[in-house]
Order: sequence, then structure tokens, then C-alpha cells
Amino acid sequence: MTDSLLSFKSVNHAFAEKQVLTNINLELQPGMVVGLLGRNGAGKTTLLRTAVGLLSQTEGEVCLFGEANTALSIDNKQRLGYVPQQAMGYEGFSVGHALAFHRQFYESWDISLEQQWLERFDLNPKTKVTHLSVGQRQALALIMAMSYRPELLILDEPVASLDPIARREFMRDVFDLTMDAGTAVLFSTHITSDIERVASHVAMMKDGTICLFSDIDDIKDQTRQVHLNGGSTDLSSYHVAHQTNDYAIITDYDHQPIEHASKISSLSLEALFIALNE
Amino acid sequence: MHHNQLHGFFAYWINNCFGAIYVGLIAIGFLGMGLSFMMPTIIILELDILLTSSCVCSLLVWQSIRLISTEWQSLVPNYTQYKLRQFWLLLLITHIIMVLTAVGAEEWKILLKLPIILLGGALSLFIVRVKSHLFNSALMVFMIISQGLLFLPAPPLWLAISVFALSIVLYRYYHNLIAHDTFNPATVKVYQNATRTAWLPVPQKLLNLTLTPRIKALYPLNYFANDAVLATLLFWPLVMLLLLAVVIIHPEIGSRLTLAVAHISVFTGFYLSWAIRRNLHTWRELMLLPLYPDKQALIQALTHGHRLFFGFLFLISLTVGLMMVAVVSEIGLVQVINFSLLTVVNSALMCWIAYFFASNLSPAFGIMLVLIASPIAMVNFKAHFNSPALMAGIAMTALVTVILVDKSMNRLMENSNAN
Repeated sequence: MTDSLLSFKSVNHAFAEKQVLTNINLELQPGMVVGLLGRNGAGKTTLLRTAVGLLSQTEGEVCLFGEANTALSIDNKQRLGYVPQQAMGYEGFSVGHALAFHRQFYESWDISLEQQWLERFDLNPKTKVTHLSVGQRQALALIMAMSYRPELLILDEPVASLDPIARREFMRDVFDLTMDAGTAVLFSTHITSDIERVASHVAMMKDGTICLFSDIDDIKDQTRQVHLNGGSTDLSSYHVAHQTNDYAIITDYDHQPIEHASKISSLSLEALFIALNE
Repeated sequence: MHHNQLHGFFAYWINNCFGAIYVGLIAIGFLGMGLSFMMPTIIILELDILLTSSCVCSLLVWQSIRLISTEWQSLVPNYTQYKLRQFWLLLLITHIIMVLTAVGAEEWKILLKLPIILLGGALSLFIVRVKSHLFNSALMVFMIISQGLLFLPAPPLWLAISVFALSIVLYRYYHNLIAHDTFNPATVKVYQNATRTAWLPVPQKLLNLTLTPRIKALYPLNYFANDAVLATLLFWPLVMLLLLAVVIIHPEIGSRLTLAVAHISVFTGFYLSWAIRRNLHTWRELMLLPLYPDKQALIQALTHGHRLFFGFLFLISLTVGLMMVAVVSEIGLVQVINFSLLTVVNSALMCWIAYFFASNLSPAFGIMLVLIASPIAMVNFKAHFNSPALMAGIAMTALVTVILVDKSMNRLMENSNAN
């Protein structure tokens, strides 16, 4: 078993008296691309901030590269890339100046990669950061987090403000990066098609818990919506991720008939997400 | 890794509205310190040093908000330590210069009062760290206390030493706190609001209670500059009333304080023009409202808003000035009018420079211009401040500068298109 780059063990987090994360267990190995899906307020940003130690968990243990998340060494910071939802802090700088300034903190910064990304996002190094649009600021933050080829990338809705072409290219690059360098990526998004395109795993969050964590292929193969026929359908031999009066979501379907089920249907990621949140 | 300690220093500390305001005031303070040896009857060294020290501390508080509201800063290797080094360098170097100046001028009571400012700065850092929404209020109280020290006797030596030692301990503790626990989500909103609008140390609730419902006549000036206009209109009479209090308590230094007020009026113009330039790109959204038939009508309304704003400044200065005339026999009506007109000239000149040249360097250029001109002008004013001829000259200058601002509106809008 490879050492995990990031691990959550029984993590809880509360703001004042409000429980935001409940019993989070998650592990990222090299090469994994995990898409984090959840409604607004489900706890995605808190989970990502806790992952990198920006917030301290109330209970449980979070390890990054084998170290506690809140005491990350300089060496391990060199291996970590993080893009927040709202990238701030370089007001007063030009794009080129901000990159030059940021670059000096990283030993393995790849200038040619930086240039390539600048061209791709059509960012002019002379433009003031304060004059950039929201999408351009996000692009700049992505360049800053990717140009030193980190081993673990944590991205909080990285493509929310990018146009469809830039978004598609960026997701492709993320995929290439994981293939080439074994980088692990944890990213939150609302766009299920992005997860289907690049993610190896999906984690779905609901009310501060991870209600489903699975290999993306397993979801296609083993996750089913079982339409219930009154109270007579027996699902005791399956793992039920979610259940209403009308249907249940099971995650370990073995392709055998289920007694008294009126219908068993496979789900797209989007349909699964909606069903889990109903 | 090797870091160039000055890399990004200018952009980080100066090239933003708040940094520029405080660095500008600190520059004025140091200029004043230098001039105090040449013109001891004009410059009040104690006021100058206390103001400069509180500006250095306020600058650190502002940049600490920026540091702790930026998520990635604690994740970039060595970034926080790099910034903290700049914090302490700035604090140390500026205060060493202040102490040496006070020693050179044999103004020992300044040395006894400085630790109180340092303690106020340290406490503000903690207040903002723990309760970031108190950012404006904390700094306002801090600035008032630091200026209020001017009227209080110097503390005894033992107390000054104790306060100094306590300050050092607090700054050291704050350093450790920030170095290990940088990000605070609660500060994000405070920082964003400040960068989008602009900021003066006036609590939002005070603004809402006093001015928000009453400045509709300035529209769309307050659409673009929002809190900047409100804060200025509230801050300005506070400054003037403070001046009035100084003149009543120390009539002998009243006329010298006009230099300080002239400088503050420069920053009023700088502050307003900066806020407007930052937000002018939103003019297309304003055009969606059923207010202006075309862009030219919007420009005219904005021009009108500026004229009214300068008119308000003049009236506030004049009202407080007339109160001075009533209580201090040495101050005459002509002097007050001259002084009130000067506030309009300074603030309008700053606006014109910012709008016409539309470069990030233009405010700095404008500040330097007025900084150099003011002491020279004050020497002449001292002799001729009661002269009606001078009043005609200043009135004409005020008129010209306001017209220049009017004429720069089209250019300002063109530049906003370019952005």
C-alpha cells in the first residue's frame, strides 16, 4: 500500500455551535483525482481548508504527506498546491510582477510551464491584478499553484469562472499532470461533467458528511437507483447510501435481480447527485 | 532559498489605497521632522512624531488584515516569515528615526509618549485578529487616543518603560501567533469591502446613522466612491473640530495646524479620486438603471457631484473656522476663508491629477507636489494669511482647480473604458 498524500480520520469541525464537518474519513493516494461534489453550504470549502490546515479540525486527525495538517514543514509546502475559491492578496501587483514574486518561494518552479499557461489563459503580464476579471484572477491563481508541479493539488471550485474552452483545457491539463507525475488532486465543483471527464473518484457531500465516496467506474457499474415497491423490498444485503419512501440508492449492486423492486436503473453522476440530495 | 528582501515591497506596501494613504502620511511626518529643525516655529514636532508613529502602526494593522484574509499565504513556503520580517523592519527603522529626531531636538516627553502609541498599535493588531469586524472602530479609537496624547502630560519614566516592555512582549506574541496560524475566514469580508470601496477609520454604523440618507444629491459620486464619500464627509468635520479643540486649548499653535489640515485635505482628494477610479468600470451597470439617457448625461451628473462635494468641504471647513473666530480672537474671518478655500484647492488638485493622468503613480506625484509646496506656502501665509488679496488668489485657484476636475471627467471615463 502506498503512503497516502492526504488522509482524514474521523474528522469533525464546528464553527461556534454549528457542526460543519461530521466524521470525515478520506484518503488520497498518488495519481488519484477526486472530485468533491456537494450543494452550497454542504461543507466542501471547510473540508478543503481543513485539508491544508487553514482551519483546525475540532476532532480527528488530518495528515498531509504524513505530517499534521496544521504543522506542515517548509519542504512539504513545496509539494502542495492550493487554489482558493476567491484568490486574493496580489492587489497592487501586475500579473508578471506577482508571478515573479511568487516564483521565488518555490525551488522547482517551471518558467516554461508558467509561460505556456499565461498564453493559454491569454493573460498579459503587464495587466494589473486589480484589473483582472474574476475568471482571469482564478487563472492566475491556478498558474501560481501549478507551475512548480506539486505532488498534491487542492482546488476549491477551480473552473467556476473559466469559459468552457479554458475549463476543458484546464481539466485536461490536470489529468495530464496526474498521469505524468503521479500528482493527486482533490477539487470541488458543481459541474458533474468535469468530474466524469477527469476524476478517478468522486466524493459526494451532504450536510457536512461524505455520503458517497467511490471509484468513478464503480459508480457506473455498481451504483443503482432501486425503485421500491412499498415496504416489501429487501435491501439488507446491500449498502444503502440514501433512501426515501419511493427509492433507495445502493452502491454495491451485483447485477442480480432484487426481489420486489419495481425498477433498477443506473444513474448519471448528475442524476445520482440530485437523487442523493432529495 | 534566497529571497530578495525588497522584492514586491513597493507593490505590497504602497501600491494600494490604504498603504498609499499611510505611507504618504508617514512621508509627510518624516518631511515634517526634517523641516522642524529648519522651521521650529511652524512644525510641532510632538504632533508630527505621534501622528507618524500612529500611521506606521495603522499601516501594520491594515497589512495584517490583508495577510490573514489571504488563504494561500500560510501555504507558500516562507511567505509569512518574509512578510513579518518586513513588518518589523518597517516598525523598527521608522521608530529609530523618530527617536533620534526627538533626541536631537531634546524633546524628551515624546520619548515618554511613544511607547503608548506602540502599545495601542499592538492592541489594535490583537483586536483585529480576534474581532476583525472591529477593524474600523479599533483604528479610529487608536488614532484618536494617539492624537489625544498631545494634550496630556508625559507619563513618568517608570510607566513609559513598563509600557514599552509590555508592547515588545505583545508584538513578539503576535509574531508567533501569526507565524503559526495565519488565515482567519472572518477577515475576508473586511478586506474585500475595503479593497472594493476604500476606507477611512469611521465605523460603518456611524456612517449609516448620520450620512447615508442625506447625500443623495451627490449621486452618482457616491455610487462609485460609496463609503469614501460618506467617510470623508464625516471624517472632515471631526478633523476640523479636533483642530478647533487644539486652537482653544493652545491658541499659540493654532495657525501652525493649518499646515496639517492642508495636508489632510490632500488626502481627502486622493482618497476620493482613488475610490472613484477603482470603481468607475461599473458605470455600464449604472446605465442599466433608468437614470441617465446617455453616457454624457452620466458624466454631467458625476461632474455636478464633484462640485457639490467640494462645496460641502468648503462649507464644513468654513463653519468650523467661524467657530474658531468666535473663540480665538487672533484668528480672523479672512484667515478662515483662505484656509477653507485651501482645502478645496488641495483636494480638487489631487482629483484632477488622478483623473487626468490616470496612472498609479499620479497620486504619489500629486502628494509630493503638494508636500513640497505646502511648507513654502505656509511660510508666506504666516505673514500674509489675513490678506484679502491672498483670498482672491486662493479663490481663483480653487475655481480653476474645480473647473479642471470638471474638464477631466471625459478623460476619466475614456480611461475606464480602456480598463
